[in-house]
Amino acid sequence: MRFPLRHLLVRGAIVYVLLRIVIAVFVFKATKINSNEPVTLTNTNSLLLQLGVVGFLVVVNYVNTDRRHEQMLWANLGYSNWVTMAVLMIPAVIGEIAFGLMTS
Amino acid sequence: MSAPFLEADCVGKSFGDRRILSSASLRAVPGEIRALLGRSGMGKSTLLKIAAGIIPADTGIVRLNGETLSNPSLPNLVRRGVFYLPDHDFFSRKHTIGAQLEFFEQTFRRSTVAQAAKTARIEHLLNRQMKSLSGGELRRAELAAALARKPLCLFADEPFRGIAPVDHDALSEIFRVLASDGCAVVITGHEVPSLLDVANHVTWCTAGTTYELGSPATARETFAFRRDYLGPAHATRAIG
Repeated sequence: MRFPLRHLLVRGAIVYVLLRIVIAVFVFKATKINSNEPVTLTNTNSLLLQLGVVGFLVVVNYVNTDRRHEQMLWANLGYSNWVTMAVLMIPAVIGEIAFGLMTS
Repeated sequence: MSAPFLEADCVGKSFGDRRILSSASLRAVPGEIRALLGRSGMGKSTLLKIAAGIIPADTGIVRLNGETLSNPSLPNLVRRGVFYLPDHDFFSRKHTIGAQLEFFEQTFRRSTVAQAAKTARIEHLLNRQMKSLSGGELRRAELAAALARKPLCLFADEPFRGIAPVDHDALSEIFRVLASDGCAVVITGHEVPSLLDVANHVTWCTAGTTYELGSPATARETFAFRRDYLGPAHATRAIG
């Protein structure tokens, strides 16, 4: 693997984990307020939520890679904007599949 | 003159109703430093971006080593030896300058960070982030990335912008090093003394087209160039 890709993967993973923590906290609070249902991992996961997470990350990562100075840096290393974005998304996709398997 | 490494030929480009280029050409020739000059809004950067595959031309073609490219894009051209320095900050704010130079060293394996940093005189800046560098240091660091990449063709859009005259000399020296290594260098800007000092050839971009004016000395003698670009003080000066 070429060196810059590792940085992108780590960055994508950090953004994904932070987003997942934020979502878990929100769902936890909402569940606590609205019902007496015990909070489990399953509460914080659903197909809709997973699609939302991935969709949101597409936007976040697109904006992130589209910041023009970085776009030019990666382009000069031979990577198009879409390739860098796809790499940024890899941790989120793997994470969501694992999360789905874990809670199904 | 050797054959151009990269050539944008008879390109036209409009943005909405505004026609920027009607038939402009740009040639990047190995071992030469070409200055692309013209007034603001005449399409210098647009022409450079078309040649570098960043934006598509409406008409005209881009050739690389004589091969016509149907759909040139910067990442594809980069793999074939092109390096493009934009007219805005280039480095990521998330890594040190040294780490980013290593990206180029490890991806292309044509030069080392140490060599590039020494030539660009930025050895002391390798552990710093871009936001802590002055304009001159940043431009030198950007050209160090080009040195670490060792491209066959370098497009630099306004590399002398916003820096002190003393830094102009340092950048000019780096352009000369790259050209002496066989790189085809094309630079734009408005810093005429520095650009004419470093260039071997001048291309004038005006009224949607380009004129190959030849050497800087010949360019200075071209009446229309002096009248329409350099200004009245130069236009009234006696020829020769």
